[in-house]
Amino acid sequence: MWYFVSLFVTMAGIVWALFRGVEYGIDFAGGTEVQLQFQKNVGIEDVRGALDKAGIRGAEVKYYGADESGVLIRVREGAQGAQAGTQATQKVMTAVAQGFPSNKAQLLQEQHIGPKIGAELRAKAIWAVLFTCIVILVYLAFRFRFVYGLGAVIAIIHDVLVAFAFAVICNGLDPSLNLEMNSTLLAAFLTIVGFSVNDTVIIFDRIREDQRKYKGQTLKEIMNRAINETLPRTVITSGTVFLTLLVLFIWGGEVLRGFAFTMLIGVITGTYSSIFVASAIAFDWLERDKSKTSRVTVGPRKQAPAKRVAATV
Amino acid sequence: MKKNRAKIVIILLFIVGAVYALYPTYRSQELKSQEDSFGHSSQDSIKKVAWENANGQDLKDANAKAIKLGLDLRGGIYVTEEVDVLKFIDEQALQKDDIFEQVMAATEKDEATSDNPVVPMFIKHFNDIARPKGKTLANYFYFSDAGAGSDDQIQAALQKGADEAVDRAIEITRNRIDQFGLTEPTIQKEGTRRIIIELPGVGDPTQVHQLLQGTAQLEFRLLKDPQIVQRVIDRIDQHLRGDTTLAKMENADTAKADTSKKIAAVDSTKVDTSARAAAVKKDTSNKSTAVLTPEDSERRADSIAEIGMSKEQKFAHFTKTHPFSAILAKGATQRGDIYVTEQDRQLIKSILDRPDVRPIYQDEVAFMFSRAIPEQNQNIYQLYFLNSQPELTGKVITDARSDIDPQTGKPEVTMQMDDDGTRVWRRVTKANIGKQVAIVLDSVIYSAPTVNSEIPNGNSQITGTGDMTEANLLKIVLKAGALPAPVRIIQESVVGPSLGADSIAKGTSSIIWSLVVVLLFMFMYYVTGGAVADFAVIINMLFLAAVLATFGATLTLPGMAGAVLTVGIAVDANVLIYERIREELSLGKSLKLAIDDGYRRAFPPIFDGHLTAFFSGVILYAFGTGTVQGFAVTLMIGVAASLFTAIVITRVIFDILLERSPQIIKFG
Repeated sequence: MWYFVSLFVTMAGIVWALFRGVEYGIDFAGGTEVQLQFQKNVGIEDVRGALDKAGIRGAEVKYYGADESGVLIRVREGAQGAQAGTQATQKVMTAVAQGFPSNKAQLLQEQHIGPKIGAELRAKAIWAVLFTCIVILVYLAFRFRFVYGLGAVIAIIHDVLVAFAFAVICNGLDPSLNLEMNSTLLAAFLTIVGFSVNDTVIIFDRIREDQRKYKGQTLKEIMNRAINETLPRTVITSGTVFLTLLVLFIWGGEVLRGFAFTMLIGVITGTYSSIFVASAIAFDWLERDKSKTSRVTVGPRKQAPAKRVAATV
Repeated sequence: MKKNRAKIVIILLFIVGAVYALYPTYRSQELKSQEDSFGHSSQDSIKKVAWENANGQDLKDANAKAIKLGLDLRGGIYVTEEVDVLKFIDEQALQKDDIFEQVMAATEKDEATSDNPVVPMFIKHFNDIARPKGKTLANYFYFSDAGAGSDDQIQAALQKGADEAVDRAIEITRNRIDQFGLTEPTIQKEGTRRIIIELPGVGDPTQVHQLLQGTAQLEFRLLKDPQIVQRVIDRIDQHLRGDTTLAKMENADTAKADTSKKIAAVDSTKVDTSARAAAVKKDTSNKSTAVLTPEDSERRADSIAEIGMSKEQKFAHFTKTHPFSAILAKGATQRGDIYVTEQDRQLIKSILDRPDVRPIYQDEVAFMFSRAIPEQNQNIYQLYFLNSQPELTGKVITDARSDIDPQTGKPEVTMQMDDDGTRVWRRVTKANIGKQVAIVLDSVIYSAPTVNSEIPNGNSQITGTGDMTEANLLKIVLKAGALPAPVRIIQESVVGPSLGADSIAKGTSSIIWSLVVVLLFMFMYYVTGGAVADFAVIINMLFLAAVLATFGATLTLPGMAGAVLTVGIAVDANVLIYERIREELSLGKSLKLAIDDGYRRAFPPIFDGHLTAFFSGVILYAFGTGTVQGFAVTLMIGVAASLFTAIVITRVIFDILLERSPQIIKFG
């Protein structure tokens, strides 16, 4: 039943991405991005008008920062009137200086990404997520049983997709959140992966331990017990991490805001998914398996004593 | 207590080591704030020079060992250039037909999406497209040093040429950026044909574009006759005599040089003559330029160039009457060569660039500097006086090589010229035997060999270039004239200094706030246990910073986010342990047993969690770029440190507490 909730959110994200498109950050899309700080507040339309006048068409203009004096201008690769990337900044600066003679703009940040780098970074990003999933699957399959590794990886994919869905939809609804797909957001996704796995592993670990302790109980009872036993820890840890991220979100500045926002979502879904996705999938799979083979154990048995020794620090 | 003694010693050693590693960071902050406290008035700038003399070296040393801040935090420009190897191949081809163009088009398509070496890519497409049509590489290429010209030899020659093109591009870039006189520019090769340039503290991208783009200019210029040079310098002196703006300029320039921390200021009246002497030894040229050799007795009286006993008064007088010579004289050696510091180089340049000074000399003499010569913690430059017009440009060079001379066993550089070049070269060398010819790249002198004899056939040998590295460098430079290394900027980011400062402030405050929130929470929830965990988290942050400083890793804004995350992970380890101990306690176990079991049972999940987090750090580092890598680095270090701080250190503390005063141990 819980599957449907997750399925609904991820589907919503994917559908949105398909129909509305994903807004890539400059590092993935290629192009030139200029961040300006005006002395006084400016209107987005006025800035766009000034750019149009200078022959830079199709530039994206939006507010960046706390008030309406910070502006982010993005000129995509191949946009009209700005073919040579590195000269685009110069053009933008001149256009703005001419358009707002009494309101001086200061160049805060400029980025130019050639189309090649953009394509490379996109490819790298996808590889990074895939690679992380594979490494974790292998590691967990080695530490636990394959089914558990699978459950954990599905939970990861679920978390990343949910965070992705939130990022895409929220960005679509309110562009000033600056939640485009860029390398910072990628870092957030990969950190979500790390967190989600951590959460899941801790529950799995408890399931394994309880299975040795309470041999007579059914898998359902054991799983329930393990989840309940780890619940205080889950709440405290997720709570503290949530708090630190909230601090980052509020005081971390514009650059880290997208990261913190995505991570906040990730922490929630990561906690949720280790119980309702990872464990649930492992449970369903094993139950189905049991009806065939009627043998349930978690993990290679010989592992336990060896780890005990290592555990005595 | 006994069983923990070794652990306690190790922990204390680590903490002492960490504090030691972080001291330079603290010291550099302290010195920097002192330095920044000087204003911009002329009085302040004098004080500042004095301060620089006392502390400049200290600050430099501290900076070298302090935590390095990424460009996103300190502001600056980051540029990735790519050498257009494809264009190089295209230029090498002697004849091109449709088949060749097809191969080039296919290679271009591949090249556009990958950073793999281009030459193998080209060969692969050549084998796929051209070879079935009966073409071999020899149909298109000819290299004089490729032996019989088999395909393998041509391929090797192409590869060598491509590699050299990248080296050349790096050298040209380095040369131009060095002229900028920045503190810590980094220029490094990435992958097979990319150059990454980081220029901290530079805010204007247009200046950098002009610097990086455009073809390199290689020239041969004769050194100017010392007597003419002396006359020109006299005229400049005359013009500047009584010019009050000069003193101001000198001050302003000093101030400018200081604020941008171009180089630690050196008290120029105390210039160490031994440094000069050492520099002279290094100098490979063997002909004195003999400027400032006094001509008349009056000048001899004031000239400090040749008086070892120059008194302050005399110097002051000389400075007044010969303001320009005085600057040059500071760096004159016995033999008449002039070596100047970075600061004086900028000053001389700014004087020479003045629109009122320029007409005095520009038709007769060109003032140019050598490459930076590292000397006693700073770079010095030799000043040369050259003909205002070059004898030849580097375009005439067809080839250059560096070898070991079989007879002397010393490195030598040989170069060949085309027919036009050979003709001019013969005339120039014939008329100037015994004189020096400077090899100038983008207005910087790389070498100034003396002409030994007439060179009739365009084949020149340059010996006495120092070691093989220098010979190779000279070869690269000589080839720059013949084969421009086309580069294009493929990535660039500029962070304004104010944004950098803002990011530091926000990053630091958010780290501190999140720490405070977490530490308070832990203490309230777990009481003594919480306090112990808090201590461990603080030590973790200390270790993280120490490792960053020790290994010269760069701290970026996402790196700060990584540190915040580390706090979360480290705290989680203690939460796991404490929850477990609480469980064991509720089963009625004794405190000691509960702590034992808690640590033991909580370890496997903590270890798994840390390891997977570490994995994602490794992958992020491998696939990420720039700032994301900064995040990965702090995450990896923090997670590794947390295994030690959250488990080992807290455990030792509990052991000590159990022995001394178990009653204060509480887990909420």
